[in-house]
Amino acid sequence: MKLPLRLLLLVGCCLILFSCAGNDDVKPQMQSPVRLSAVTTDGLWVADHLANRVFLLDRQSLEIRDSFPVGPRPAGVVVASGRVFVAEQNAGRVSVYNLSGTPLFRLGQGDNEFLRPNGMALNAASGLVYIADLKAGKIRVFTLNGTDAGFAIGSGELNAPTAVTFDPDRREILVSDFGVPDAPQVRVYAEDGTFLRSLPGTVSSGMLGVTSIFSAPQGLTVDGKGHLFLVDSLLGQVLVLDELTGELLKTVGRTGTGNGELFLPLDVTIDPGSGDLLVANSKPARIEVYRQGGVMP
Amino acid sequence: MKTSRMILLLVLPFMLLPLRAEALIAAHQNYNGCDTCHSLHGSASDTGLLDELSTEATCLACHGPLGIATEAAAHNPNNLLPGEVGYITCLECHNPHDNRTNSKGGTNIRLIGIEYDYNDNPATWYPDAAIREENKVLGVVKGVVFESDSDGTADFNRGDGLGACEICHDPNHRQNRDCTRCHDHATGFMPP
Ligand code: HEC
Ligand code: HEC
Ligand code: HEC
Ligand code: HEC
Ligand code: HEC
Repeated sequence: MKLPLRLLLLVGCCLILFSCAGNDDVKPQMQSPVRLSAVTTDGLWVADHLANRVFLLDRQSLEIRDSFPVGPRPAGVVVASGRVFVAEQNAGRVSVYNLSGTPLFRLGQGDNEFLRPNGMALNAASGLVYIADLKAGKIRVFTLNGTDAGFAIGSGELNAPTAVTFDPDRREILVSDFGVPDAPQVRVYAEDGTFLRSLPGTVSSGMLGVTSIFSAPQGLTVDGKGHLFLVDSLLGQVLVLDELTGELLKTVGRTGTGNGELFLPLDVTIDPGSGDLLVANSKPARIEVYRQGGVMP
Repeated sequence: MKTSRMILLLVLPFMLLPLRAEALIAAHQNYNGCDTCHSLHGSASDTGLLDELSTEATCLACHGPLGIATEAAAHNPNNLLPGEVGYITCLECHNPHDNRTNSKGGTNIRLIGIEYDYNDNPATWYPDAAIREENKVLGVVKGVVFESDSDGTADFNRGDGLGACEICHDPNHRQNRDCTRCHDHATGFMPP
């Protein structure tokens, strides 16, 4: 082979190698995990607010298995019948994707259906999704096909709902309400929207005293045994409350930026198989695991 | 669970901030006044006093992702964590207590400009609003003028070294443009 030809071949090979290396692009990393789906056999879906992506984590190792881009500033994420529902805060909409990230449809009218969609929850038995609309001050209800169920929950009562969960055993909807300007609370509703009870964030205790239980209520979940697990982003803890009385039973985790410490945690879920408690630790960009942390005596 | 420190908070302002009017911007006042941050309702610190870490937790509970107010993030291009040297927290740029007068005789908006370095002990009070250069020498502050962002020109990049970004950044980049139109506060001013 002539030298110029050989050179050409060499350059060609280099180019191919180079472009292969280029295609082998870096896996996207989590920047700001904010909300978690329920744990499924596939794993755990995580909405990343600043990366504008949702990530699928391995159920055991919590390593990133997959991810796809979604709309601006994702918040709540729910998986139901092979579909991923993602609240896209800055577009005021909830988009529905298949498991590989192909957009399928959007709830209601799509863009600006919501003022500021935040947390979401699934009522599998009734085929409904609940969307906490922070600015509208209510929980919107949609069917899994994307049509408005025709009623909202907590209208005129909720001040600043951040997150919502559904208790499938008691068939109740539990809402984190920042409360401002009232006191923070978790408000509990029946499936048809009837208000049932409030778990207050502060209780008065004597003369000047106000005893605080929580102040910045975010993501929440229940264990089916009467316990409510509630994340307080300000305290940097998961609080375990009696689901009926709101009594504080236990706290999990502590605030800080060190290993295993929580800084601006925003959501919590329990792996029903292992009893592990998983927390979206947003600022350090990690999912924290408390082994068996979701198991209460 | 924390019990209120109301008495401490009633006394503190008189002890520590003599003759200093603590007017709050309406948004913070209307929420819970001083409690908005020195919370009696479960706070990020045990004393109601706030250091860099607890301040950040406090502000972000409302201004962070999925909080209840306008989103903002600290300026942290080097991916540090709060408390580490070089981490540019809210308190480098904002005085949570009040909008301050600046060296041009006007009043800054958006709470831009601190009144003392929270690392100073005892505190030295600055006559004019300033921004702290956390990245360079600890405790070095520079006057800042941030009066209006309606036209999006002068205040970010005034050309006199007093703008909120030009204090630390070479004003050659997109001169006289509203920096936050592209560098979103919610991402900590990262490039789009
Ligand atoms: C928007 C949040 C916010 C509000 C509202 C607020 N503060 Fe503060 N305050 C802070 C932060 C953050 C610090 C600590 C940083 C600093 O020293 O500037 C602080 C520091 C202080 C200090 C000094 C303690 C020290 O360590 O230097 C006093 C005293 C104080 N605040 C009193 C008040 C009073 C009185 C009010 C109500 C009129 C109030 N604050 C409202 C955020 C707030
Ligand atoms: C209890 C919730 C809450 C906390 C805690 C809080 N803020 Fe605010 N802040 C608000 C709200 C609400 C507004 C007004 C509207 C908005 O921004 O959403 C506001 C407005 C502001 C503004 C804009 C002022 C303007 O002129 O437009 C700044 C700057 C600000 N906050 C900084 C801070 C800093 C710094 C801290 C922490 C020391 C803090 N805030 C803590 C709720 C909070
Ligand atoms: C490098 C300086 C700097 C830091 C650090 C900083 N801010 Fe700001 N902040 C600004 C400037 C400049 C503006 C005005 C932006 C504008 O007008 O577009 C602003 C505006 C705001 C506003 C009003 C809403 C808006 O976007 O205009 C809020 C709220 C706010 N900041 C909160 C915070 C909080 C909370 C932190 C800490 C987590 C923080 N800021 C850290 C410089 C800073
Ligand atoms: C207190 C000093 C300070 C102020 C004020 C400040 N910055 Fe920065 N900024 C830094 C430092 C330190 C870096 C890190 C790079 C470096 O060392 O120069 C940086 C980096 C950046 C970067 C590059 C980030 C990256 O990773 O590519 C952008 C963009 C930026 N700043 C925008 C802004 C904007 C917009 C403002 C005004 C709202 C601002 N900065 C105000 C100190 C500051
Ligand atoms: C029209 C959009 C836009 C505006 C307005 C803008 N920037 Fe940028 N900026 C960018 C983009 C895009 C990048 C990344 C690519 C680059 O370096 O040009 C960037 C990069 C930067 C960087 C890091 C790289 C460097 O040049 O040092 C800094 C610092 C920065 N901008 C500061 C500012 C400041 C300060 C202002 C306001 C005076 C401003 N920018 C206004 C779009 C903008």
